[in-house]
Amino acid sequence: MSKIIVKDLSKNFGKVNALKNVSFEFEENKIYGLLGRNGAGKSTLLNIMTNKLFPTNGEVYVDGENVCENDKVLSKIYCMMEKNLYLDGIKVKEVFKWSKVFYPDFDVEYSLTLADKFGLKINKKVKELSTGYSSIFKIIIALSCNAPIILLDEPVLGLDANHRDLFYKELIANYSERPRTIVISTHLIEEVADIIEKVIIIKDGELIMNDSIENVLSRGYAISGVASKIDEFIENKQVIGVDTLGGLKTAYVVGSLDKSTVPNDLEISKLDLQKLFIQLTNA
Amino acid sequence: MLVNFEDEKPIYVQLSEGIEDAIISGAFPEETQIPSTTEISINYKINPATALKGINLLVDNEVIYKKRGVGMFVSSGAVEKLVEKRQVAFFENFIKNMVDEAKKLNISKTDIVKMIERGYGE
Amino acid sequence: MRILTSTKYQFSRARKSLIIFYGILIGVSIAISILNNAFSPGEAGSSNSIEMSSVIFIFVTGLNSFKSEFNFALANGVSRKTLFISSLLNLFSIATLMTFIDLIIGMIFSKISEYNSLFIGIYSGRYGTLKYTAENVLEGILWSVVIYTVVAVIGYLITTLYYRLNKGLKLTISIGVPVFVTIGIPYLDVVTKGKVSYNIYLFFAKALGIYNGASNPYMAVLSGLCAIAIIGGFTYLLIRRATIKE
Repeated sequence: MSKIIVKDLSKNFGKVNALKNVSFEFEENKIYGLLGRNGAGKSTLLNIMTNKLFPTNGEVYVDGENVCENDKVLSKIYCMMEKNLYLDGIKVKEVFKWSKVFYPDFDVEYSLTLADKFGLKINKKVKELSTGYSSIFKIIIALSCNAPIILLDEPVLGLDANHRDLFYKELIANYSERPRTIVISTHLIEEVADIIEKVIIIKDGELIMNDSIENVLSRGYAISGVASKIDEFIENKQVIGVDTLGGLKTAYVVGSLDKSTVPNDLEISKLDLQKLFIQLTNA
Repeated sequence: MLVNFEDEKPIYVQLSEGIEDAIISGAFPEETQIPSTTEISINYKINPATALKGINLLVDNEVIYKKRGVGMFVSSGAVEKLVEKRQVAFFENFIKNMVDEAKKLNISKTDIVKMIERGYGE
Repeated sequence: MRILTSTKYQFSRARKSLIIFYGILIGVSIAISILNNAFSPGEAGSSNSIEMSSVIFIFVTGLNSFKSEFNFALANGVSRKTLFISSLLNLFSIATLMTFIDLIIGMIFSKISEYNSLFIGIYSGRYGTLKYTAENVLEGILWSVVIYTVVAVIGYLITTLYYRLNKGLKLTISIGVPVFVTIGIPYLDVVTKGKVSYNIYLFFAKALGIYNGASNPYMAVLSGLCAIAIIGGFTYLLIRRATIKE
């Protein structure tokens, strides 16, 4: 039971509208990808969802309760964010210990196992960790705290390929064992494309997509071939973008495809999330 | 079992085809256990729901069956069934494409037959 | 429940500095009395500075009680209201603990040297040169807990205010207040023939219950409680809408 409803959410920083009247729902126990270009409003959204910021307008509800200043609801969410929130000289293992106090379902043993797997030194002070290990430290808390909602803001920042691989595997193992709502905000789309079940895309503070990956990818196709023939084919179709390379052209088309109408010398391929994202979020 | 996620087919279809390949090749013999959905999703870093969908495709086609509380097993007769299915798909997937490509490259029917004979000879 | 958890966390973070503080305080006091005895045996050293050190320490503790605690609270899903209440509880607990430690240290010192606690010093009109009695010990505890708490919440208010202010205002206050105290007040004194300083003195004397020969610690306790309520109210207004900083 951890449904999140974002309702008419707006946030202004001075004259900048970071979020513009955004409304949508997170279904429970699914892995979401929250995608958007830098400055699109992803972190602002996550910060409002965990009441680290106050919205200019609108509300966020978890299981029907407003998150604003609500201990009960806030304790159901763990948000890993880019910023380090452990300012004084607290040590990694002390944070694990205290996390158990604040999140009673926190699994200390599991956190220590993970620390060992990632090679995180638990006697180090949090503020002395490198960017990569700071991410790892926060990932471990997020995976161990067993809150019904986990928000991950750029979780693999500074992680090398091995650690990223380990993280994704642990995330899936963890999720398989204890399904819960997970939101991964990232710009490394290719890496999460197969892991996420749902995708939310934000552009300039506005929601432009909230759908399952499968729907999104089956909603359109890419078609490539000689430019003139492509132009002919895409006439009257909803094209979200084109790539041109010399006389060749690839068009990204939304809509169902009737294969019998495709000329023999044009090639059809499926959309991939990264390409789709780039086409949708290009200015 | 090799799954190439760059393919244009949906991942769950690729996954079920990958398992089919493993069954045909004998990597997963009949009446033996195959990896669990969780193991598969962790190994290939894919969403468990996607993995389940791929597995269910095979369960629905009775290629594999579930033993409660134990896991999933390859059905007896699965290899024969799959080979038959693949043979039917062979024309659609390979012959048609081959002929299309051959036409594009102006390769005649006799040339194709020659090539096939050469292929078998090697 | 979350209030107590949060209080427990904050107290655990303050514990280390408390231990260091008292370690140094006791060490220095012992060193001074040894030196005093060595150079001028028989002459009593008046070391009633324990409470003054404690006041400074608890003020600094108040100053250090917001930023990292606020961030920690946000990381762990603790609301601002809960954080605020638990911070007050934490400061109050520290004030109480320090009161008792100071009392014990004071009692020990009074055995070995001519020591008067700050409390007995201020309210000498009420207790004379009396040493520890049940009455003045109990009143002293009450008084000291309240005064320490007031000092702590002043520190807490200042740090919260600084957190909420933007750079310009922060700078204005950082320069403005010292300038006002060092130049403004003396200037006003010159203009008003000392009235400003006198009124400030009057205000504190009345608040502490020592105006015009009076010697009433209960007046100080009452004023202190009012001060805590007012300062706490302001602080809550500042914390209520505090947000994370990038």
